Amino acid sequence: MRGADYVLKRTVFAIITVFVALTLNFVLFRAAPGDATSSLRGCRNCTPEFRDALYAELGLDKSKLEQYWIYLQGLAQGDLGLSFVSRQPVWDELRDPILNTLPMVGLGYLFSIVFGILVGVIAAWRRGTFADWGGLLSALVFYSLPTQWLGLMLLILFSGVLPSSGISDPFIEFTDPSTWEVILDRLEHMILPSLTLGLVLYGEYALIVRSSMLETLGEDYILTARAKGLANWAIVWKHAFRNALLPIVTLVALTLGYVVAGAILVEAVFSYPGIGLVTYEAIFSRDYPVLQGAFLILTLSVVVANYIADLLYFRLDPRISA
Amino acid sequence: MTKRVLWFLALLALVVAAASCGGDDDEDGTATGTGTTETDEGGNVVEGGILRIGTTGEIDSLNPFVAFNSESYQAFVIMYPLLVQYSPEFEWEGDWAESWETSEDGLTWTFNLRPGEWSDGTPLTAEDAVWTGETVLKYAKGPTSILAPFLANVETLSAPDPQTLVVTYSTPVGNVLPQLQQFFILPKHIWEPKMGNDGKGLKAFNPQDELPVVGAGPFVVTQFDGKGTTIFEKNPTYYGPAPHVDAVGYQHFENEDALLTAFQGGELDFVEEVPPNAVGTLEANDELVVNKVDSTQINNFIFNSNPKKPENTELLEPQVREAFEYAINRDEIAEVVWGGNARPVASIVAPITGMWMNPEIQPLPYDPDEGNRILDELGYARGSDGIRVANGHKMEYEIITPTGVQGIQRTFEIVQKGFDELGVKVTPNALDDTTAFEAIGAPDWQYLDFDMSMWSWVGYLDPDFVLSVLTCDQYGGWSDTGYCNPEYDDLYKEQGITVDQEARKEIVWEMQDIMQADRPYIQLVVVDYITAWRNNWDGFHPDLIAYSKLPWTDPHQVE
Repeated sequence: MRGADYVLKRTVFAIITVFVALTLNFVLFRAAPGDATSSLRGCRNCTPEFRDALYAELGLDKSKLEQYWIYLQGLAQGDLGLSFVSRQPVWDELRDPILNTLPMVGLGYLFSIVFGILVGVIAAWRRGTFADWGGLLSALVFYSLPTQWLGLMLLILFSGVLPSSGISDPFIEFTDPSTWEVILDRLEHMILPSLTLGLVLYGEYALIVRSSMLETLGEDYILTARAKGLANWAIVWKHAFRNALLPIVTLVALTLGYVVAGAILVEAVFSYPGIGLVTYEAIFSRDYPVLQGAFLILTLSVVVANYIADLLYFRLDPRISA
Repeated sequence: MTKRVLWFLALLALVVAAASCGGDDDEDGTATGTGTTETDEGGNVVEGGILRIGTTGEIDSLNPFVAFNSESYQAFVIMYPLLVQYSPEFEWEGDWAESWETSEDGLTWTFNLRPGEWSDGTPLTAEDAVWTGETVLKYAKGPTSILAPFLANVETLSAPDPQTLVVTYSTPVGNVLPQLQQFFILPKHIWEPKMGNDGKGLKAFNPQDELPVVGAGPFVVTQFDGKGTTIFEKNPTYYGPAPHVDAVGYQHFENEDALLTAFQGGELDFVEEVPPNAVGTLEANDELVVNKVDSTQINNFIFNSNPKKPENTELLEPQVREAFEYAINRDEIAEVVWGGNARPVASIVAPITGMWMNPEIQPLPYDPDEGNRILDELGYARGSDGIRVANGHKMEYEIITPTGVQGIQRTFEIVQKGFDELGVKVTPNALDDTTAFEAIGAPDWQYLDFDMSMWSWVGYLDPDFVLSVLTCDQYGGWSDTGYCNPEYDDLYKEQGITVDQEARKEIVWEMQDIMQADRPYIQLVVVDYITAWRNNWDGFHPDLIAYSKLPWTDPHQVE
C-alpha cells in the first residue's frame, strides 16, 4: 500500500503547511507598524477614551494570544471576521473580487498553456532552426519581463483600442445593453490583464516544455519509433509529448497557485477589481481581517495546487506507486 | 498608487480653516444662480450626456463621519445642502441659504433657507440642519470628531420655522462662513434611526447600502464603488439650478499611467490631477485642454522640533536649520521634480491666500558656502571622511520619505546632494503614508524618535488651518513636527477670535515670523493644481472644486 502511504503523507503535509501559513498571516501583518486606528484613518484628534472604545470594538484591546485564539476559533467555524474598514463580513468583501479574478486568471492561464506547449514542442522538434530561435527568444523575453512593466506597455500599445481599466464600461447601463453586449464588454476589459498574465506564464511554459521535449526526443524509443516509419506527428504527440508531460503537469499545477497571487500586480496596473486589488488596498488600511482572509485564499490555492500536483504525479508516474 | 495624503488631510480640515478672502462675512449674502449664467466661448451648450471624470484618488466612504479622502468631500459638496459657498469671484454666495443676517454683537447668525425636498420626497427643512449640528456637537469628542471643528464655538442651533436657521456662537468668530462652507446638512429622517448607542452607529452606517443615497444636492449617488466607478445622477428635486449633464461618472485608477492612457484614448472627459511630468504630452494633443491654477499645496522639509528629543539634538538649533536651508536648491526642485509647475516659497501660508502671506518671509538663496560657514562657526568640523561631527557623533541622519507624496524620491535626491556639500549625510527611509505618519509621532505621539521628514500641506484661502498644525494641541492630531510654543499658541487663539481682518492679519504675520525663526519646517515649493479636459467640453472651474457646487453643475459639452 505504498500509494495510500504517499497520499496520506501528502495530505498531512498540506494540512501542516496551511496551519503554518495561517499563523504567519496572523503574525506578519500585526508586526507592521501602525494599526487600523492610526491617526491617518479613523481616530484623528479623538479622545483616548474613544480610541480605546474603537480598539475594543475591533477586538484589538485583547492580548495578541487571545486575538490569535479568537481568529482560529472563527476560522474553524468558517468565519473570517469583519473588515475593520467597512465593518462587513470579510467573506462578503472577498466573494465578488474572487469571482472577478477567476475568469481573468483562467483566460490568461489557458492562453499560456496552449501557446506555451505549442511553441515549446515546435521549438524542440525543430531544434536549431529559425523556429527554435524565435520561440526561445520570445519565451525568454516574456519570462524575464517584470509583470507590471509588461502590463503598462500593453496598456500604452492598445490605448484607444482596448479599455485600459476596470472590469466593465461603467456607463454601459445608460445605453440599455443586451446581455450579449454586457458579456462582450466584460471580455474586452479582460483581454489586457489576461494577456499580461498569459504572456509571462507563456515564457515559462515554453521553456520547460522545450527542454522536457528535447530530453524525451533524445530517448532510444523515439529512434525506434522513427525506425518503424511512424509519421512525424505521431512521434511527437504520441510518443515524445506524452512522456514529456510529467514535468509540464507539475509545473502547470504549481503555477496555478502563484497565478492567483500574481494577480496582485496585474490588477494594480489595470485597476481590475479582483482579489489582488483588495489585498493591495487592505495593506494600506491595516485591515487585518481582510488581509488574513485574502492571504488564506492565496495560501490555500498554492497548497491545494501543490497537493493536486503531487497526486497527479502519483497517477502519472508509475515509479512512485510501484 | 495612493493619493497625496496631505491633500486630503487638508481638505478634511477645511473645517478649521478658511476665512473669506475679503472679510465680507458680516454682509448680507444674496444668492445668485449658479451654472447657467456663464457665457460659452466654445459654442452652443449641449444639454445632457455623461461627464466622465478620472482620478487616482478614491471616494473612500460616503459617510461624512468616516470619510477621509478629498474625493469624498467633493462628493459631499454636491450630495448635501451647504449653507453658503464661494462664487467664481471667490465671494460668498448662498447655496441652500438664500440670504443671511448677523446680530450686532456678531454672535447670532440667521439664515433664510430655500424651500426644497430630499431626493426621496421628504421636505428639506431647517430641522435637518439643527439635527445635524446638534449631533455633531454632542459627539464632538467621539464619533463626530472629524466634522466638529466646522462648528467650533457654536453654542446652539435652532429652527424658529422650517425656512429659518439660527446659529449662535459663544464668542465672536472671525471666519464663520468659511467654517460653515464645510458643514454638510444630512437628512435627519435617514440618519437619526442609525445613531445607536452613544452615536456609535453614526460611524458604522454605510449610506450606499440603500441606493440611491438620499441627498438634496444637484446629484444623487446611484452606484457606489470607490475603487471602481461611482455614478452621480441628476437629482430632479434639487433646489438650485439644474446641472447640464445627466450624470457624472467618477472613475478610480490605480496608477497615473493607466489614467492618462484612458484619457488620451477617449475614455475620459476630465482628469482631476495631472502629474506635472505629463503636462507636455497632454498639451501636444489638440483634443485636450490643460489648465493650471495656483494652489495652496506647499511641499516642505520637516525637522522634529520637540525639545525633549533625546538624540541628535544639534538638529534643534536654529542655526543648523538655517545652514541646511542654504543647501536646498529650490529652483532645481521646481524645475526637475515639477517640470517648472512649481515656485519656491518660504512661508506655510501660500501666496494665493493674498493678504495672509507675510511678504517679508522669502526663501534663502541656494548657497552651500554660506551653509558651510555657519556649520564651521558652530564648531562642527569635518572628519577625515568629509562628514561633520556634532556633539561627538557624525552628522548622519535618516529622512522619512512617505511614498504617497508625489515626486518625493526625486526631491530627496536634490536635498541629499545639497547636504553632501555641507558634509551632512542623509539617507531616505521610504515608508507608506500611514507608517510614515506613525513613525513621525513615535513613540505614541510623543515625537521623540524621528529626525527629519518631508511632506506637504494643502491649506485653504483662510490661513487658520495651516497655522493650527503647529499648535501644541495638535500632538497626536495634525502635528508632523512635534513643535510646541505657548507664545505661538496664544497668537493662534487670538487670531481666531479677532473679527477685524486687518488686526488679524498682523497676528497672522507675526506667527509666520515665529515660524521662520524657529524653522520647524523649511517650505520648499508651492505647486500648481493641474487639470485637463477634452476640448468638446467647457464650463469647468478647477479653482472652485470643493468650494462650490459649480464645478459639477456647470460643465457641459459644446457643439
